[in-house]
Amino acid sequence: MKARALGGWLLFVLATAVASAGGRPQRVVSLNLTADQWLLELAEPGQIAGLTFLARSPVYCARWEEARRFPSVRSAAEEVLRLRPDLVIAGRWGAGPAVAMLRRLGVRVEMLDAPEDFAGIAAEARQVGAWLGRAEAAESWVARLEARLARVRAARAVPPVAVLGYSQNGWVSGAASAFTRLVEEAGGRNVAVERGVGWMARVSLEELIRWQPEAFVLPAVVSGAPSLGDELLAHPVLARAASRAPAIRLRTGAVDFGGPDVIATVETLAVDLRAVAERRTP
Amino acid sequence: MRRAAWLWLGLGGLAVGIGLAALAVGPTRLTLSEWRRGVFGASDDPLRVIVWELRLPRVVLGAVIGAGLGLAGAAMQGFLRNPLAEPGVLGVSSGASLGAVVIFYSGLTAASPWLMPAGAIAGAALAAGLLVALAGRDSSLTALVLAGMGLNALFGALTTLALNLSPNPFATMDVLFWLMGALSDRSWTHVQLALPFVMTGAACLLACGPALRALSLGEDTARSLGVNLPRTRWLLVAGTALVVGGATAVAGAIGFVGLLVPHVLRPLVRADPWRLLVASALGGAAFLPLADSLVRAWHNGPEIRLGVVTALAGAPFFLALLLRERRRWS
Repeated sequence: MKARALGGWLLFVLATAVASAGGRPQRVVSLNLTADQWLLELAEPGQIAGLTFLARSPVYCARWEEARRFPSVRSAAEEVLRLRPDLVIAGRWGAGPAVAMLRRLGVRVEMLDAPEDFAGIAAEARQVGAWLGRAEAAESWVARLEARLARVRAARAVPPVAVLGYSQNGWVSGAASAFTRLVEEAGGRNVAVERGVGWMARVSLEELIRWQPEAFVLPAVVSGAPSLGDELLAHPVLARAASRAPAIRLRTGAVDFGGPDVIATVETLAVDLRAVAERRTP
Repeated sequence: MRRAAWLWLGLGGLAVGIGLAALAVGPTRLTLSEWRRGVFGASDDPLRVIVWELRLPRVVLGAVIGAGLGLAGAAMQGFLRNPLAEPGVLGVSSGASLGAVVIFYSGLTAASPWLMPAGAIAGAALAAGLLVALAGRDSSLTALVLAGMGLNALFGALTTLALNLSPNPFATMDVLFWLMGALSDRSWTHVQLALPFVMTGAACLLACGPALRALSLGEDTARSLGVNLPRTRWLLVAGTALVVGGATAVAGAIGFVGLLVPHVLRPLVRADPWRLLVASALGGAAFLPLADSLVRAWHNGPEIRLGVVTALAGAPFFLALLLRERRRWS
């Protein structure tokens, strides 16, 4: 019995060794929401051994329904090990102790950087494609990205629409945030940048209504699970301000730069901003 | 009697004066002319929105809640004949928080916003009932305070648990609001939700006034004067639950107001429980907006929570009272 179990184990080790020798990892685990999206976009479904728990949440991930078909992990090393990964993809930020432990145990861990622009996202696609042995899929994705980007850039609002991103508990994103990059790509400008907000700041409703943007970007409502932070976004004063400047709703997880879904966010944002620009009184 | 009337008038005037001054305080500094524009300007002027729709509801809500909590504290101290009794200390506020949290985070308020104060009132009533059951009316000072401590620990843990279990990632951040209340970003909607309950509860508590006055002469004397004790107890529990539930549903648990205000005012009414009730309501209406605007005027940046301020002022006071009571026994 014991010998057979050992034999099975050896066979498994041999099989994974052969598979990695072929350059294509067969059991990939993601420890990062961006990596989740890349795996769902580029990997063969059979290659995915685990995604983060965030990917299953409609708050964070547009592909949450798809993500629920795979096991989920909470970035604890023991949980990851149980999935017997031959490749773990993590983010440069977060997941520190788990990554260190996995490496010590001999698991291959690759790190994603936070890209600054769409050139960075294209590079990210190629890199993930190379790790997964899916270079061709990555190349064709990059080609589609460039086509979509060209369409967005050709139809951006001119002059850019003054936008303010307001999220739960009064947080506003500033110059160094991913939000500003998304808005600028989509044909807007972030008024919080002009008001000196660096990365993020809490802004009171009093200040907010004096900034007078042309459009607000608010987080999408989580259905059936309220919070006081979400309730603030329904404050009568904000609702009144939104009657002059429309509120565009964006998934909380979409306000991030990196991964294959950024382009979709920019596309929908660009459509909304163009609609705002067309309603401008000359 | 005339002296008490003057005191009430003075406290009422103070509350109105503090309320008006509080309208000038907020994260945006308004010059005098801007302030005038805010008060009298056109209805779509952002300055007018700031004064009428952000600052005024906050001041009004602070006054309503302060009045309710001051009154509830004075009534509890009078009925239990315990100087340390107060909705926050005895766990009634945290019971109200738990009730509101269970209703709100299970998504029931989408059906009707009134379910939120209803839940808070049920929680406060549960806490008050448990308190009476645990400590009894004639219990010692320590037994009552210990029962309150136990209830606070239990309700605090259950509130945190309920928030942990919410699928909304922002719910966990709300723990602070429910355990250490605040008046930030409140609107007329919240005033509307709290006011009817706090008013009804206050009426119940004020109706206890004559009975409390008789009770201060001892239970037997009170009975011989025709005081119906079970009815008084029932009115007091209902009144406290309505006041604390209504207040906590929109502002979280704000502690120690019901301790500070009656104790400061007690010497001024010569310890008359009925006059103290009215004075504590008016004093609370002045105190809470004052505490709220002082912090806002003094600290520019992330808002300091009102519940933290009242606890910082009230907790040392509570300890000093405890020390005084201990000396009295020994």
